[in-house]
Amino acid sequence: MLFRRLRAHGSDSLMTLALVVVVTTVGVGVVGAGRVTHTSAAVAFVVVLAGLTALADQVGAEMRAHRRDLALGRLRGQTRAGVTSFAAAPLLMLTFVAAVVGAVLGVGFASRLAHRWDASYSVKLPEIAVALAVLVCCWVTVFAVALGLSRQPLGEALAVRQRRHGASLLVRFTELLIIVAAVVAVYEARQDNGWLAIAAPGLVGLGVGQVLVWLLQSVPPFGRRLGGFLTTRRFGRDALAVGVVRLIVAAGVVAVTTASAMSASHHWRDQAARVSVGGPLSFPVEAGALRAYAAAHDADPGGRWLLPIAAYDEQRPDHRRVFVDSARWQRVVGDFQSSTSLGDAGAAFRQLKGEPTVTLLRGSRLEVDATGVSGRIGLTVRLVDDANIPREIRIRLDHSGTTGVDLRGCRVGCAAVDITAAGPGHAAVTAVRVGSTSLVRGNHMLDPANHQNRIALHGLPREPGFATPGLGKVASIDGVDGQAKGFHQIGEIGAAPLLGAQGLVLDLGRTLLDARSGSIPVTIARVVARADTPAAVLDRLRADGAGTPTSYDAAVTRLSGTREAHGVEFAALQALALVVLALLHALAWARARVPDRRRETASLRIVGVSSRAARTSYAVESSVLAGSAIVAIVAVGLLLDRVLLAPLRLVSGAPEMPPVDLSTQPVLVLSTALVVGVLGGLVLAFVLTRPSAASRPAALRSDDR
Amino acid sequence: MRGLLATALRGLRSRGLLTAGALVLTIIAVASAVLGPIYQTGATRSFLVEKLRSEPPILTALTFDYTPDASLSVDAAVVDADAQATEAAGTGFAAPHSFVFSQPGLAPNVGPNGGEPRLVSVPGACQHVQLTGRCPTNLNEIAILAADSQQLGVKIGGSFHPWADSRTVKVVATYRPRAADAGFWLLDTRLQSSPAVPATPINPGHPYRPGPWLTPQSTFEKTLVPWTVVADLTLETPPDLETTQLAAVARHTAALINDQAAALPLPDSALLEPGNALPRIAADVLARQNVARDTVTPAVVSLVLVALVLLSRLLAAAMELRRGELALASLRGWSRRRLWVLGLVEPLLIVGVSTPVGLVLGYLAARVLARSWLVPGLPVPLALGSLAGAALVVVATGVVAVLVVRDALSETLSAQIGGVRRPSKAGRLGLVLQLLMVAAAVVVTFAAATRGHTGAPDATDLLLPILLAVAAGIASGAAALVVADLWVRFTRQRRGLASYVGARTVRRRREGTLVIFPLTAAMAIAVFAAGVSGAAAAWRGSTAATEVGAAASYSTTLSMGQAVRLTHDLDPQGRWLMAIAEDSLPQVDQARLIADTPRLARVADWPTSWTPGLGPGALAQRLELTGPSIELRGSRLGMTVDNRVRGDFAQLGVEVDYLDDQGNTTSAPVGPFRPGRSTQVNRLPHCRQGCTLLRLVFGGPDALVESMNGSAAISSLTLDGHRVADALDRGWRAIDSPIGTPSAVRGAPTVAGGTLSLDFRADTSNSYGAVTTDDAPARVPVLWGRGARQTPRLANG
Repeated sequence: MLFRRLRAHGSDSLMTLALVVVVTTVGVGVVGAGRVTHTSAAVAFVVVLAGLTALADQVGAEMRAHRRDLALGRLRGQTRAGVTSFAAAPLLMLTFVAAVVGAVLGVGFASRLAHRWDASYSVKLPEIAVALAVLVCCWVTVFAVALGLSRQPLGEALAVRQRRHGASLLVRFTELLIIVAAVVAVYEARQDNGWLAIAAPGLVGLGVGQVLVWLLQSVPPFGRRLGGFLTTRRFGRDALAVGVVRLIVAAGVVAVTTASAMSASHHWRDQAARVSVGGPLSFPVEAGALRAYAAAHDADPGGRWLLPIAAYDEQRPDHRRVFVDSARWQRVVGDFQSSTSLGDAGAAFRQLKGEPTVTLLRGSRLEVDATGVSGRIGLTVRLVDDANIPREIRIRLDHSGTTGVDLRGCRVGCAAVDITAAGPGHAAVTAVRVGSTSLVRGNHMLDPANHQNRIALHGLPREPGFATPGLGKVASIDGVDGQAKGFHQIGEIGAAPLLGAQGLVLDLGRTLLDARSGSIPVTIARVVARADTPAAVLDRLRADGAGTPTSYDAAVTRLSGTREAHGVEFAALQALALVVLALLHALAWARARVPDRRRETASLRIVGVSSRAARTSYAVESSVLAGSAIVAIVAVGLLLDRVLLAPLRLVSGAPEMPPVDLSTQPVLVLSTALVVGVLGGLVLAFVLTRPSAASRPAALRSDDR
Repeated sequence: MRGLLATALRGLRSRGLLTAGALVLTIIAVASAVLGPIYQTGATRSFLVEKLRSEPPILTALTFDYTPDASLSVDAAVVDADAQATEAAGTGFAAPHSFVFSQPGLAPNVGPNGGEPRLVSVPGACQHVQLTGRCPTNLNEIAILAADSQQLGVKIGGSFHPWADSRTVKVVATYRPRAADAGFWLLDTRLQSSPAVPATPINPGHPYRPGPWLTPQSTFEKTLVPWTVVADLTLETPPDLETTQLAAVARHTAALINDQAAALPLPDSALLEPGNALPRIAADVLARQNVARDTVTPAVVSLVLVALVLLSRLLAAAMELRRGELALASLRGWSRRRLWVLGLVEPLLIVGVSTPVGLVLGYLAARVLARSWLVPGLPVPLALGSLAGAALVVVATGVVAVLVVRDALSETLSAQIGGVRRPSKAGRLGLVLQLLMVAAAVVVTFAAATRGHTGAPDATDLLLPILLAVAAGIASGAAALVVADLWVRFTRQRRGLASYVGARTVRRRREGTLVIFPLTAAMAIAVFAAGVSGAAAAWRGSTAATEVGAAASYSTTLSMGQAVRLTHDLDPQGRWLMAIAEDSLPQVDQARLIADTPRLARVADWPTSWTPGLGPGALAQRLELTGPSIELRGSRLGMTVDNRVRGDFAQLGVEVDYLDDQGNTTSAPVGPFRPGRSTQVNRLPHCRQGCTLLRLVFGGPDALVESMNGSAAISSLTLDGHRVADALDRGWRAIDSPIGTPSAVRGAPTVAGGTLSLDFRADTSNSYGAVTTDDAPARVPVLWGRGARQTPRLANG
């Protein structure tokens, strides 16, 4: 029966088949892939809903085309059940086959998606349930339409031209349901992220499409030219004449919101990746903040390619802090961050740099120059070594001149923490040197007996720095050593490098100078490198303890693998499926109207209207439908884009990440709407204007199709 | 006109039952429209006041510490402090209640190791404690906390020198705090005694702090004790407290706390004590108040709606009976206007009579309800919303009357005279409205069912019960019609006449089924209300359990270890007492609760709604640590170690960390052990009753961390010569360094044949080598609260 039917009404059946296949594929695929990747499958819901409304239209048109066959059956004494099953059976078969094909395709599709997103996939109950649900919904739709036809009065069923009817209770209810769902969805979208809110674009599209249908139906016939008059008259007379725009509008609205979502999330990913990487290349340094600083200064003494950063990703916004070697920012990072909310941070960082910064000790021998030594003094230099471990170097001063001891673990760069003296005696220390670098300048009298037992190494009591907006007044901050110290805000900054939207930014060199010990274990130490850093510098950096670098591309890839990024891909899939559905539906809708139009053209030719004029009228009709759809789509896009996007969870951002920019982009909205609308209009115009050539008046006599 | 009125009254009397019904329903509708807003306002206000009164006063009160000029007398200082505190606190707080406290200072002769006593003088102190002895009224007489008398070593009548000099105090009484006097002392810890806490690297600790010594004011004036005035200002919660007032007070308090506003008259000599949480409490209460109000709305609206729908039914029924009357009048040639007046007089009379009655009844009911259910003394003003509601009901009734009369008048004369109404199709608008209601119910239900999270109720949540009720009403009406239709067909030829006629009547008189609508709606709303009430009761239980935790809860200044020790001493079986501690973790900015979980199921009050599907027993099992810990009871700890470790030091030191008899964390060194096999015995202090072993730390001579390589084996562990049970035949594991440095213990420690073997590898001195028993797993089980931000690592200690 199926094949017979396919042979007899091949193209109509194929379109129904394609419709159900698309709906099932998307439904099963999205639910399956969503299950294994923990992404909301709410978008499948809209595709199924839209597919079912299209199916109802299409099945209705198809069955009405065969209503006289059914009427003949009834004349021969078939029962209503018999007529219903006779009408429904082929379509039931067809939808069954389509659902099976769609389910298989959907599973394949889901496994491909899952594979691409690195998740293992196997078919589970939800997919089967979705396929079954789609099939049952299709069957119910087919049965309902068939039952309606079988209850038609016999005379009407046999009539050549059908009488116009008001919409049935079920249809009215569905229309109202869609409108209410759209309204509630917009309300929910403003404050929630449930299913209804995620499905909001599709529902709003369907709802606005429905309103547009009602508007077009209520336009009174007008226009002095025949084409316009016929078009508007047709709109008013035939309840189904304008139904095609509903799906086009829905597809358009979803396409517009999806395009905005993709653009917004892409922009955000770009920003977030740039901020979180810090620069073109980002090397982790295991051994803490001082090591990163020392390694960068060792490999690149001139500050041309490498920038050390230490970040603390605490949960409290005012505890999040980043220390950057601000003097190198402009040269190393350059305009890499200029498109992000960091913007032109280089200018701001210029205010941060300046003396004093930490003095790096590099070498294997520590020497102390002292004059006027009398008695015996034990000098203790506490420092943090290459491995971020505090060490104590003890030097016994018992004569004037230079005293030296071996220094271990200061190949890359140590930093002194403290110099204290003890013992009965006094001395004047003029230098504490490693190689040519001296820790102290000038003369320092040491007289432990009289409380002169310390050489001061530390900087300012309050560190100057920048804060991101909204942190309030921050008075103190923990340094790299975890010890609190004063903070003095000198300006605002759009974001904190490596950390995101919230945090404080300070200078690394100064903070290291003030550290009382090595950096605490939670330190995220990095060295950021320019893209054009010479290989020799990078080799030196690696030898100094830098790990495998991450890059902007890696960060973008990581952000694209999140659940939210998958959600946006699902939305794109939904938009694509809806556009395909809308075009299929437009094609089927137009084809179902071809016999009527052919007859109409023939009648018009009898009264002397050229077939060209009739063709023009159909072209006008198509363009009016497409144009009104475009207007509706653009209106929704411009007015509701923000509201509809809000619940979509476009990005995986922790609250600390930069906020996603959801502002409406009119050009994007307009171009997407134009593409969808024009495509729909072209399909309609192509089918409707073609048959005019074969519409001879003689065709009216045979009353054949 | 008079004739018309007489006709109307006669008509009303002749259909007495219908009239009475309509009257009652109108009165109910008006009264509930009046009652609803009044009660709602009252209830939310009462909620505000009750909530604030139920908070511990310390959280809502302001406490100022006032340090006077040295020249001021005590009386003058108190007056000055009161004036300054009143000025700083602004409005909304009661008059200050001031105490004179001595400033804390170390007194060597208080308790065995010295302590920090505080003297307090406040009028009425003796009346607000349970006093044994006489009230101290003379210079240098004091009353001490009964619990301190042993620790201080004095009895009533005794005297001693607390300070290093010769100043003497005489104990004339002991006191115990009473729960009823919590308001007087404001802070229940003010009358508490706190044992000494030894200093640790993290915690500076403090000496023994006995409960305050009550003394007359003259002690401060004559004895040279430095003193300060502490002024408490409790929040005033009059029944007519407005939300705006509360918000203003909270704002002012927040400014005081943050010390932001330089304009505030907070003088340098007065210092605000921390502890006031009014801004947070106010924000919380105000938010909950809004939720409470929103949740009451459906109930208020539905009662009015149901009454209105029933009323319209009754009016329509009355009108049906009056159609003959109208037909007669129109036969007599009455103009259309007069016919309208005739039709409308009766319903308007009903409205006119019942509106004032409803207004009065509604207001009285509101007063009665407010008096019996809400905070005493709550003002019950006639809210504007009530009048608007009543007006709305009157207008709605009028509209219904007009519609009913219009229906009756639009019938043809023959139909009016005929007396039998022909079945009519439902109107298009009505149909669309019904469909709209059903569609809305479907969508809103779907939205509520698929919502991602449960937050504050929004408009859809509030609409849901009403919509569902209406949809259920419509659906059951439609179902009744369908059933009647089927029944008519079924009984057409078969059954008796009665059921056929009955079913046919139902089918033909569609509006008759409308009666089902309000009934279903009323039932649905009643079910909803019962559900809400049940959920609210469960919530109250759960909240009470959150605040108290069990039947009773006692606060203590003991450390967690000490508290556990105390509860285990008092109740060894774990049947009545459980220690819990709460702290907050600054890194994650959230609170944490630590409980003695094996006792959770038996002692604590744990509603199953907190952990659905996981009862307290099962939960305790999951949170419980895996095995019993090692108990050390004795005074001399012996250890045999085979030391094969090479490092910076030849000897290997071991440190035993344990919880001592008092529940304090203590450590004792064992060793050092020379290379090869040797046994060392060292003193183990404070372990007469039984200590809990926490960990063994390895290192140089003093267990200080240094570089070491090799292995060590502990082959015996004895206490006073007896083997420690269950110590060297159980699992051990290495502990991560508390400061994140590498672990010196390589691999897992092995236990074989009563010997614990360890491999060490540490190249630098920043390693940490320690092992613990497997009763405390490396990953301690944690139960996260629903809103908690989960982190993989939490600080211990």
